[in-house]
Amino acid sequence: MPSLNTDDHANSEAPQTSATPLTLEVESVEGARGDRILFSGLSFSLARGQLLHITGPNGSGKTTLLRILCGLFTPTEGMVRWHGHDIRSSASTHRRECTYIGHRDGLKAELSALENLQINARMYGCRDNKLIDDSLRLLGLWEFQDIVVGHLSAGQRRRLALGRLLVKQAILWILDEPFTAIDVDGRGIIEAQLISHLQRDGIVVLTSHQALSHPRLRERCVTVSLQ
Amino acid sequence: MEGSTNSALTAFTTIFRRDIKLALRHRSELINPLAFFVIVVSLFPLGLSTDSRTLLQIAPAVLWISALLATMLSLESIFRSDYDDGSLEQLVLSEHPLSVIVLGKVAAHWCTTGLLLTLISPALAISLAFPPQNLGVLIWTLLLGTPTLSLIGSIGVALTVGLRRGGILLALLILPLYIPILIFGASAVDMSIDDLDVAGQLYLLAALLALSLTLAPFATSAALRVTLE
Repeated sequence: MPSLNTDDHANSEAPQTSATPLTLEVESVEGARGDRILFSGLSFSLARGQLLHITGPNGSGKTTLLRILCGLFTPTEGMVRWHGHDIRSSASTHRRECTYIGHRDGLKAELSALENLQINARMYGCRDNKLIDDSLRLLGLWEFQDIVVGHLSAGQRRRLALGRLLVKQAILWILDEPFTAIDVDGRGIIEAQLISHLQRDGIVVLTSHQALSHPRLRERCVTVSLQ
Repeated sequence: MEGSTNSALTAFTTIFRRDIKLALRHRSELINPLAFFVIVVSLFPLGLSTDSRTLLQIAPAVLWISALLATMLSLESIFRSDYDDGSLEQLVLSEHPLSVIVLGKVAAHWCTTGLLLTLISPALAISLAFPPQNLGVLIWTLLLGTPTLSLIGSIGVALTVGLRRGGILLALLILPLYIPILIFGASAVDMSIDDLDVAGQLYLLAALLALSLTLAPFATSAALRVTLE
């Protein structure tokens, strides 16, 4: 059964009153793949400015939980609330305010890095070309913007996928193993983005086998471990 | 309200242009259904007879069945690569109505298959001793019929794209639904050769197109959500 370690140092600065309502609430959720129940009775809640780190061995249901949180899977039991509403009934608000970066990068191999990011930005309603350029620079992909994604390395593709976070600027970031294939520099860049997102009162939910190294991430971090 | 219509339109054109661009960069996938269409149609004079009366008799059915099979072969490409590279889950999670995105993808699919099949059909029809004055009816039936094939096909692909070997299942699901279009399309062409009025068939093809245009995107969206579960 899942255990909830609330090593939550953010409590002191963000008292959870009605002024700062809990934004993401998970209520006795059960996740299953096929006939196998991966976790059940899982409940937690996140306020703005908090990071949730989901840990657990392979096959423990981390990805399933993330896909439930972003609305791709329907939990077999329980519900997920965003701003107090069930995400299935207020799906469009939740989708607008949530960015999910899954296992697979969601990039078209035949299009260049720039074209991929432009299409993503347009789908998010972002027409700001400067933001796209800045994101490419920040991710260290500026020199590679005209290269088709099929010719980029796995780490570069992962960086480009994470670029979606920067062009959409949603409140809730749901990241499945964001650091896979990413080098030390890249990890530093992404952790810095996570910190500034949390400082802007964003929420991050991520899975990662590596512990979060940055102390400023750890101080806003809540951990849920799945067994 | 106007804002959401605008943003849905942006989503439609973004996806449409993206898929056209992808098709143009994947020349082989663009040419395969066309080559299939050309080869199948030209097998009939080789295998059957070069007698122009026999050919003319089978021409409407041959052209329509070949166009239908060529469309079916290309259907998987609507969602296959998006499913494999994870773009599909991003589209499903997009804030825009999934039916609008689906419509953009199907429109792009039709432009890169059905429309091209329609455009080369006159040349193939002539090779089957088809009277040139009746080419107009052939083109009209294909223009009205092939978008319906793409729309109905998208439902089948959405249901089977998650399976590893969905090809045969797709054919079994989709071919029965193609029968009405084949009947009205081929019979209109057939009757036009005998100089009969074909307005009725064309209206029915147009009605089937209107019906699938309004219903198929919703069915396809629902099927995609089930597939990604």
